[in-house]
Amino acid sequence: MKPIILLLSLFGFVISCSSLPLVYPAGDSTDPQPGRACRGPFPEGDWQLLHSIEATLPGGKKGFLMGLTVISSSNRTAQVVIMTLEGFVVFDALYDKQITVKRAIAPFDSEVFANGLIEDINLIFFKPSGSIMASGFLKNGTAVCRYQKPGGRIVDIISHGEDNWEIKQYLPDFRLARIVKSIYLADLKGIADKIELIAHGSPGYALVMDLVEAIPLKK
Amino acid sequence: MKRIKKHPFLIRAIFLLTAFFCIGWADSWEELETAAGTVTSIKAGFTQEKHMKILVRPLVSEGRLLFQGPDSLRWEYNRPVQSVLLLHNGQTKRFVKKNGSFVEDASANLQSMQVVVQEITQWLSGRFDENPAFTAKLAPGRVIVLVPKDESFARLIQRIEIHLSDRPAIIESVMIFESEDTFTKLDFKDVIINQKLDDVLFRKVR
Repeated sequence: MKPIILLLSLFGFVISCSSLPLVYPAGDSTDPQPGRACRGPFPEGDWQLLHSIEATLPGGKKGFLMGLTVISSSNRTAQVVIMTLEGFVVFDALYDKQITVKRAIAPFDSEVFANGLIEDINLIFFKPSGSIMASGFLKNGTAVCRYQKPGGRIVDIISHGEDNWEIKQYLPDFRLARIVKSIYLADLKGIADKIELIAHGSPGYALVMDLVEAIPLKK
Repeated sequence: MKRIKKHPFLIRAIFLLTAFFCIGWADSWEELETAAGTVTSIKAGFTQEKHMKILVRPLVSEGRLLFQGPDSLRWEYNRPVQSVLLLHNGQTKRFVKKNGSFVEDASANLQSMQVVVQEITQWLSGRFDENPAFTAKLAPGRVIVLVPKDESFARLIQRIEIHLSDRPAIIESVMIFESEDTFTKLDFKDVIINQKLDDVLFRKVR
C-alpha cells in the first residue's frame, strides 16, 4: 500500500509543479515591440467607464450586470459600482491603496468578493506595480513584458498587435491565476471595447465586459 | 386661436374645469384603488436616469413597460443594453441580448428584482399601501411616498416617490432613492391603458 501512496504523492507533486513560459530576448535591440508590451494596454488619465458584464459562474450559469468604474491612472484609484441591468446598486466601493466598501448587497457582500474584484480591476486597468523582470518574445513570436509584483505574483503583458492584448497573472508558485484578453475596435486611448477575464482557482469564473460608454474626466 | 387670445377667461375656465376632473382621483387610497380598478392593462415607454455623485452625467436608459392585470409585467430595455424582465404567474425571468440572440440570466440578483417587480405590479393595480415593508403616505401634488419600515431595508432603499399623472390611474414618474445622492428616475410616456395585450408577451422574450 505504502509504495502506491508514495507514487500518488509523487504524481501529485509533479502535476502541481508549474513553470513560466520562457521569454526570449529580442534579437534586434531596436525592435519596439517588447517596449510597447511593457507600456501595456492601460488607459491613461481619468475615465468614467460603463460596461455590461456577462459573468459565467461555476456550473456554466450566466449572470448579467452593469459595471461602472471611475479610474485615475496617475493616482491608481478606482470607484467601482456594480448594478443590476435595471440600475439598482448592489456593490459600491472605493479603492485608494485600500478598499472602502460603501454598499454591498448579498451575494456581493463578502470580503473575498471585494478583494477579488479590486484585484481584477487593478489587473485590467492599471500597469502592474513592481519591476520588469524580462521583456522580449514568447516561443510563438508574440511580444511580452514580464513584471514581478510586490508579494511575488508575476504578470505577463502580451501584445498580439495594437488592438489585441493579453495579460496573464501567475501566483508566486507560477500557477496561472488570471487571464485578461482585451480587444480594441476604436481609437479610445487605451479603452478596450471588449475585455474577457478568466479566473482560475476555486471557485473559478469568467467575465465578458462590453464597453457601453467611456467618458474622459477633466480635472 | 385668435378667439382664445381674445378671451383669457376662457383659457382659465378650461384650465379650472380640467383640474376639477383630475383633482379627485388621487385624494385617498380608496380613490386610487377605484381609479386603478378600471385599468386592465398598461403599455408605456420610459426613460430612466440613474443619478450618482460620481457620475459626470446621468446614465440614461430607454425601454417600454407592459402590464396586464392582475400581476403580469414585461419590463424591457432597448438601450444601452437590450434586456427583458418578465413576471408571470409569480415567476421572474430576465433575458439579455448577446450576439444577436437573447440569453437567460441565472444570477442570484434576480431574486431581489423579483421583489421589486412584484412591488411595481402592486402600484400599477393602485395597491400602493399594501406592502407591509413600507409606510405609504399620500403627499400633496399627487405624490405617493413609500418609506421602508425596517432599518436594514432602509439602508438599501431610503424612499420611493411615485408621481401620479393628472390622468386617472396613470403613473407619471417614479423616483427610487438608494441614498440622498444616488437615485433612479423613471419617466413614463405614451401611456396607453386597456389595450388588449397578447399573453405571450409576458411568457416569452419574443
